[in-house]
Amino acid sequence: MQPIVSISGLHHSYGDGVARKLILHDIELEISAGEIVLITGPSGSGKSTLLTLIGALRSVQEGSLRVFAHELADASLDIQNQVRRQIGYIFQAHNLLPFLTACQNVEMALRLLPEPLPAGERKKSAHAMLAAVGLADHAEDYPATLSGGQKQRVAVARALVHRPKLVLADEPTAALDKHNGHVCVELLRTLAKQQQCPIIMVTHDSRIQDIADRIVWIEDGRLSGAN
Amino acid sequence: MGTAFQLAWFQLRHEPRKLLAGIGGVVFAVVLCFMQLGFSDALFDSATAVQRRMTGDLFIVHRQSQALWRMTPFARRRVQQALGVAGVESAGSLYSGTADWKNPWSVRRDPILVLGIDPIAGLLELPGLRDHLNAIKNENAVVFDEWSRPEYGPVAAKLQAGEPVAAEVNHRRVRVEGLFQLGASFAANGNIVTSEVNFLRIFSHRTLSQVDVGILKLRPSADVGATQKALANLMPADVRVLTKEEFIDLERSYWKDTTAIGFIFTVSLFMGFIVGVGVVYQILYTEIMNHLPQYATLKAMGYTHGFLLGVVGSAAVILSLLGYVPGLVVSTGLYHLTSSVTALPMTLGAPKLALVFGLTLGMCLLSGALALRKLRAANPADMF
Repeated sequence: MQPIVSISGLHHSYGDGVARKLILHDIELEISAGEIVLITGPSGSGKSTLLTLIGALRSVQEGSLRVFAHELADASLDIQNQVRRQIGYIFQAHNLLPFLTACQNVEMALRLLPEPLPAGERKKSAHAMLAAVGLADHAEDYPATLSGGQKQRVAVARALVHRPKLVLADEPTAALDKHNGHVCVELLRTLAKQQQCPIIMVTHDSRIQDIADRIVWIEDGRLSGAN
Repeated sequence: MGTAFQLAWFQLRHEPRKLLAGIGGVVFAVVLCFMQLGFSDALFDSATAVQRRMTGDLFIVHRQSQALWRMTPFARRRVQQALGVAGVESAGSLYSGTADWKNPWSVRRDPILVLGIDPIAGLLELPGLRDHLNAIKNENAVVFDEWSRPEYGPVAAKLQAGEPVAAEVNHRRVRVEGLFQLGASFAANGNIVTSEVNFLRIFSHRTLSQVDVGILKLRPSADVGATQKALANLMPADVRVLTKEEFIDLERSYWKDTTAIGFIFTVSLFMGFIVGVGVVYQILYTEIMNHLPQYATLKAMGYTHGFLLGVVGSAAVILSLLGYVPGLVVSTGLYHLTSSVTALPMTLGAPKLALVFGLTLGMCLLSGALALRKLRAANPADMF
């Protein structure tokens, strides 16, 4: 079976000339369907850079990075957007649009489907996803009226509602307390498993490491795998 | 575009107080633009009021003539010549000049526009004038414009009270025999109409054979364009033959181009436009700055930069629509008020509505374009 993500010889650096700083060095990594991979390591080790590269948010400088059989090195904007639309992204901050209800926020992901759903279907689908994260009663609430944990669960619903082929999570528990962080990550894991969707999660939160199938350690831009 | 438009509307609607402030700003700009255009049109209309009241289809003027208060006279026989062209029914002459009016009560002197006509030719359709056409046949008799500015003295009041009014025009004693209504213009704050003969008495250096405007009436069956061409071919190069519209435009462009009046109105219009741009920019800019991480998230989800441009563009269009409509309502009210207070002819026509709408839309889109430069910052790679 073809891996969902396959990275080889990936280098990445910021800045030019003397100020040039190597962030990622000769990264080799493969991720298969259904796998939950945690990338962990100290701050500034290049974790987030790696994640934004996989998410097609940043251009590949050197090496090969294939996501869903698309080569992202020298990929056009169009290819980048196609890849982005098949990924569910969860950030440290929930980043919900404050002027949309929870349901409307979730629907934003559904509006990008290659075959658009009728408005009614879209709403139903978003409601079902919100129910799955335990927010059935809060679908019509605006983010400002929700708690931190609830908001991040809306973000989880938004990341999963369009049945992505891959979920990328960047420190999703950083803004949450232990209990809410755990609830959130548990939900993410359960729902992703149901959809056979792999997760790559960047975190240095040791409290949630138990959910991982595999943990990858990154330090000074170099990977060292641990299973 | 549907999603972008919806998103823009939800975003604006979410903060009603900010939205109202924004609409208020656009309304202000819209009203400012409407009022400037209204005043400018009204003043240019009043500047061309005499031409509008001339009962003719074609007009002969000297090639160098630019405005009624400083016409270059031409030979009266050109007007007679015009009668030789098929289609011309009648031809009349008008004399015009600016004279010195001495207010009989305060001894103050002011320039006044004097029009000399053949009393029986029916060349001017000024309200009230017809009743006094017989009177101006008398020596040194004039009819006075009762809408002249007050510095000419209480002529109308005295006359209506039955008192005889005599004044000095170019050091010549004249009697005011009646009143008509025309109104002040850029050229003169007051007007009088008299007969050709009396006109020549007031302007002693002028002669009957040199006229200022030839007023031609055509037969109902005649084609204006063809007759104009035929006349132009017949006349020597020192005169021009104009349609009524062209004659009005001549006066209008004189005031617009050779004075600062047109420029002043353009500047005021521009100020209104700039106020609108500022207000709308402020709103769109803060919306973008407040939502940068969310916009970056949308991009990470696969929304294109073009989509976000659509959101900001839609917000601009919505603001212009929401501001234009109440702005139009307020302006309509102010137009009525201004008309009744100043007697200026303030009218809202379709071209004005379209022009101001275009300005409003342009102003909102320009603000949108300025605010968009900030949107580049919503780059998910830099944000997360």
